[in-house]
Amino acid sequence: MIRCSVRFVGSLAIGVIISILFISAVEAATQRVALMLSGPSCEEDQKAIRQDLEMMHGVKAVDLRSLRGFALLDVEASTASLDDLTSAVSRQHREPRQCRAQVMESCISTPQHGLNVHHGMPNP
Amino acid sequence: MRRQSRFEGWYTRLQFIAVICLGMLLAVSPVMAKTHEVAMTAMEKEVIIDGEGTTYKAWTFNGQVPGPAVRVTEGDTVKFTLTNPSSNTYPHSMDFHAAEIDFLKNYRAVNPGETISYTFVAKKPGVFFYHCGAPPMIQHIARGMFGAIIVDPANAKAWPKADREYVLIQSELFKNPDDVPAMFDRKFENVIFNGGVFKYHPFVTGGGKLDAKPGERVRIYFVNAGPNEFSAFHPIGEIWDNVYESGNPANKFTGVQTYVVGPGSGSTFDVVVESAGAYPLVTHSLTGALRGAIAVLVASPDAKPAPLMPMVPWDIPAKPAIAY
Repeated sequence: MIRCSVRFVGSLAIGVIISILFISAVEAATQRVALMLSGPSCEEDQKAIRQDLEMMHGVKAVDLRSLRGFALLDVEASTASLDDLTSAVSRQHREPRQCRAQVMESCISTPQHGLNVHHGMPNP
Repeated sequence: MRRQSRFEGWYTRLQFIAVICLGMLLAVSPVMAKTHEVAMTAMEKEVIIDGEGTTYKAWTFNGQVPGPAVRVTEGDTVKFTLTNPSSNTYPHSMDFHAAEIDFLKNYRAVNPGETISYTFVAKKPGVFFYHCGAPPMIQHIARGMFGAIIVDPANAKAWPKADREYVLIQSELFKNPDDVPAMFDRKFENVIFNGGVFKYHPFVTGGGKLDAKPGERVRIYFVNAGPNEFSAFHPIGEIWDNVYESGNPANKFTGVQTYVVGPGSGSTFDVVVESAGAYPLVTHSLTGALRGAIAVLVASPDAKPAPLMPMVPWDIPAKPAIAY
């Protein structure tokens, strides 16, 4: 009887752990954020911009090559705010306005993106 | 002696004329046509449908959505074989819109463990739909059993030479692949190009793009698989230089902003992208575009060559299975 209870509790614990891991995995889903870069130093400072963005908490990937003039970021949706990401592009420079980032909004923004742009993502 | 030489002269001229005639005959003769052995296997399997790795219980040709692009030239013969492996659960069939053959004999559904073969001549140039027609056909198409066959014109000069070519197939995606009533009621969840939600949208997680160089003539072979919705195909920031109804060079339109392609139809679209930048190709039926049918054509001087259907199949890790 006691053995059965121990097994049951053990199974229950494993199930709970697996569920928590699963829920974490779902919550940690990435979201693509497109930042439009403008300013005279954006091209030459690409390496530094990449490093600054990669250091941001929640940023999983930075793509500056696919679309010229844009930074395409894969971000864990619940960990980084859009303000943090845009300011990360400019703040590391001596002249803060030499490269400015704006979240790209256009007619092809998906409803999901529109939501994030207007409401922002919470800070960690 | 004189007579003999006159005879030789006539003989030589006849030989010359015969060679010319033979050459002309060969140039226009169907002898030049090829025969293509096309084999496909019906596969009931899960496929990736978005950039997050969501999987979908699809029915496919050769394990991918859309099925492989078939390409032949006008006048060619296609010897087609469909295998429905015994590991499948459902009957399947194949209907080629490029064929002009008896429906009853050739397009019948075959049960798991059976094979069907038939032959047709691709007599008319164009871009044509192919699909499974097993009942309920609406479900077999909705779950992914479709593709495109391009029949190039025998005369390559019938239209301008394209610098770059893509195949785009629009279709609707239904949340529950078993919910046939929802398919009849047009309750689709997404409208997609080449089997993926925002597959060629770089601003969406996992999204890619279509590449071109500025000044290139990009040719899009477009098919609307449906099963129900019309496509209003439009290039944002551009105008279609030419549209060829059904992909036939004889059916030419010029300077078209948006062109409607109905379910089960196709058209070929030419656009010359004049400058570097991004040119989203969308269905201007916006409930479709904003639910997945956006493909961004990026023009850049360093664009690399690309296959006809990039990212098919969508080769990214599947995320943990949840109901979809």
